[in-house]
Amino acid sequence: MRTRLLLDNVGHGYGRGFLFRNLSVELRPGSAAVIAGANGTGKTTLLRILAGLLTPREGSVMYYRDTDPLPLAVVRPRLGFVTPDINLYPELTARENLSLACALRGVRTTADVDSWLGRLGLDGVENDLVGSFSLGMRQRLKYACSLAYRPEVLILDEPCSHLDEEGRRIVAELVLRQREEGVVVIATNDPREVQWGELLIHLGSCSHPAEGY
Amino acid sequence: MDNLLKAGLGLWMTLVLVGAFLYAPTAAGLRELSRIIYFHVPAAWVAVLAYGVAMVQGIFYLRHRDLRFDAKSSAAVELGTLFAVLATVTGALFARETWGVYWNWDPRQTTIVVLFFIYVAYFSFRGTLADAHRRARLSAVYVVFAFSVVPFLVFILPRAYVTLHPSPLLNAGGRVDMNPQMLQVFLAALAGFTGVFVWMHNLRWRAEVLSGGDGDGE
Amino acid sequence: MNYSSIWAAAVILRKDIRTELRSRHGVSVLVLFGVTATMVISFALGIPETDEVVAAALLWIILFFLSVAGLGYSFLREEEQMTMDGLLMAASVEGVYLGKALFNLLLLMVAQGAVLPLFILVFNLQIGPWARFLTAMFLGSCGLSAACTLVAALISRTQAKGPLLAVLAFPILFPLLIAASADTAAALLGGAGDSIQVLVLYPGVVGAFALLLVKFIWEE
Repeated sequence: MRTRLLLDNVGHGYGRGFLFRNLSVELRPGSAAVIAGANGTGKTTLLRILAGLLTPREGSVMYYRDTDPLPLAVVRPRLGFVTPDINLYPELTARENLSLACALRGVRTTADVDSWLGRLGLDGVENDLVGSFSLGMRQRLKYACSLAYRPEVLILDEPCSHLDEEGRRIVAELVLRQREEGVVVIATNDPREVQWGELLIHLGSCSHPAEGY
Repeated sequence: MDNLLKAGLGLWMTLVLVGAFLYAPTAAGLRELSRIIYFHVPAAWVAVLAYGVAMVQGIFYLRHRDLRFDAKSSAAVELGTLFAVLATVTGALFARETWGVYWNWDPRQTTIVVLFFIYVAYFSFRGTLADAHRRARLSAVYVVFAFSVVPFLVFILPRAYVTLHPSPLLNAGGRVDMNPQMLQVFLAALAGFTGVFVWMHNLRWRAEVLSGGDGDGE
Repeated sequence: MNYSSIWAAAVILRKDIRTELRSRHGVSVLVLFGVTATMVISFALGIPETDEVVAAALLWIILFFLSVAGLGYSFLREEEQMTMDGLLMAASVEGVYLGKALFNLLLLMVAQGAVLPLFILVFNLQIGPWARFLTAMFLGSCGLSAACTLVAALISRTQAKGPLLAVLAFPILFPLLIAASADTAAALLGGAGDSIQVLVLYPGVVGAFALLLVKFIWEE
């Protein structure tokens, strides 16, 4: 895992103003960044930009493998993105959701699937439809679906929403393991989760506040 | 546009009008009716030209993401709608007088009607999009996608049906079926209508940029 | 278009078939619409002194409205369930379009499996050469799916949804519908149609445009 991530003077906003501007950061393998800031300061927007779902109005986000820039089409399937804005399929079972996430990326996982479900404490419900899951169980399954194909960069929005203490402990462990070799970016305001990263990006101090949002 | 050019265009169109009614002779068998070609054919030409402009500007928008291209594209569609209506109505009147029916699904009528439906669809689609950039992007995709029917309309439909429509100016034999005076007025009318389109289009898109275009979006 | 897009299309097709088998949202709309329309037309016309040209035109009108009523769900459900971004993260947009277009083609064929026998029965039609008739049906369905899938993708990005699909798809489908009903009428009359080139070329041309343009639809 050698993918690193470079933000060069990134700025974005809606309407005339900017939510954030002149954001330049380099994230190397083995690092974790926390994005903090009040509601409406652009945390989710910044994560969508990192995930390649949104093009920033200014600047650029580039992923590099060693020194070679990676095109978006190549890098996007290798990102893990856990966010309240992306749901699982309620008509599919836990196992089917997980296999789907891997199959779409051309990753073969036959024995792996159950071990990932087991690590997130979802053993016993592998063949239940996700429509019958509680929010906490869905959140756990999202982690399984985003980690099973071994992403090099993990992007987390509100990582522990709906999770109980047990779930929180599992996620903390996963984040720790991911940042041993890869990159983790977390958007949160929870002081316990802020501890997970060594780099803190604080949004909301932009000198060009959004107007007419 | 320059004032001199505007005055020139006004003079030119006046000459076209005078020429169409007083200078050009009538065609055999059609009598006064033949004068409609100086208005009907240029209107149809502009309706098709407008689609071409809308599509090219749409492609420019997708390339450069500048909302001015979107304003140019949508202004062309607006004018195209107007000229498509003019061409259809004048064509139907001519059809009624010469063939006894207003409508007979002649390939050229069919083409202009499909064009009209594309234009109408374009505006109902734009109306559902609030964000300026998303509206520009998706409208451009639609107007370019609609181009995929053109080969079928242009090359296949006219051959599939018998037509009563007078043959186009440059027909299969490559010869011109008009006497010199008629041809002069006809070509002048084509140029005049094109000039009017360019002028109106220029006004429309700039007005659109001034009114709505703060240039912001997603 | 590359190998991984085609692979993703196959995976999406399989996923959609599986969810469809569990919910039956799409098929039920298409079949119900087709059956209702056929029965209403048949009732209104009484015992038909069948005119093949009219029957073919009615059949393709039914298939057009059935498509615009049912095929819009392909992308709408993904947007409403908030799963579309997940697909875009995992696969190329071209792959997503292709998978959805194949699924829509399958839906149309299943719906025709229910509607066509009923239509032939109540209109007392004698099919001339079956191969020609079924070819016109199949190629026409490919065209309907290729065009409607792209328009459905466009509409899934707007606020207003419902009847817009018919408005946007109609001018694009116009040549296809004319060619398909001409060829179907020819097959019913026992002869060969002259519009087969349109039916063959249309899905290819429209599909190629769609594959070129689809990447702009989600590019924010």
